[in-house]
Amino acid sequence: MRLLFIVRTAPYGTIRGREALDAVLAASAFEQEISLLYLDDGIFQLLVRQDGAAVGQKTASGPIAALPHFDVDRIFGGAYDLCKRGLRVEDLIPGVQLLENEEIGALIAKQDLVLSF
Amino acid sequence: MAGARQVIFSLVVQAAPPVHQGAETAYRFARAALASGHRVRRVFFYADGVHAGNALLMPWQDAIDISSRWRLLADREGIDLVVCIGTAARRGLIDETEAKRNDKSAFNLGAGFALSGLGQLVGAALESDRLITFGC
Repeated sequence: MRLLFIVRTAPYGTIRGREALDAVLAASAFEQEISLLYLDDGIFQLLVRQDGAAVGQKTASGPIAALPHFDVDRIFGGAYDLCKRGLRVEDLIPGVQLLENEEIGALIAKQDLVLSF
Repeated sequence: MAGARQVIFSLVVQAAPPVHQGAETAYRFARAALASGHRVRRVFFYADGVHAGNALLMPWQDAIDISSRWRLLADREGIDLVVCIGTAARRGLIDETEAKRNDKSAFNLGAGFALSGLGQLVGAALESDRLITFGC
């Protein structure tokens, strides 16, 4: 079964992105194909230069970067969402595959379950 | 509906009643699906959706009591109402077991709802023909 988790929200202001990761980790125990896609302001979760300590929270990118250790390595970001926010791939943690909008559509179409955060 | 195949649905509710309509839309969808001869296996209340299981909700007089509506429908039709235990705890929604385990003075999970893990959502997806989400 293919499960896709989409994160559209920035870190720290809401817990949605962090809850998405909890869901990804819980789902990873069931040995299905899991993908994680960052769109809209969700792209900010992937920034290399961020520090949650400034607001007393865990830095958002840390757990994402650790996902391959849990066999979750299909981590995607929206290329257009990145560009629209004046960011480049160099600003993101390694291991993120950027997708154009048509590729995002194709990814979503293949899924059995899509959860949005 | 002669000749139409019965579809097994499971639903995911992610938005909090009464602030968002998602829990109510999901309820109306469930009733419509059942009336059309389909089955609703499980409803998984996740993230803000867990509030549908709050026994202490006090809606406006002219609004429906979504928590009781879900409980009654589930009871009549044999639908599983599952509230995600982790996201519920973070939002202060717990049952008696969790209250005792965590030294909390009260609990508020409504009758008819059960706390469980994300595995129930994955299980629902595996066992249903369609999984529909509400309130994201």
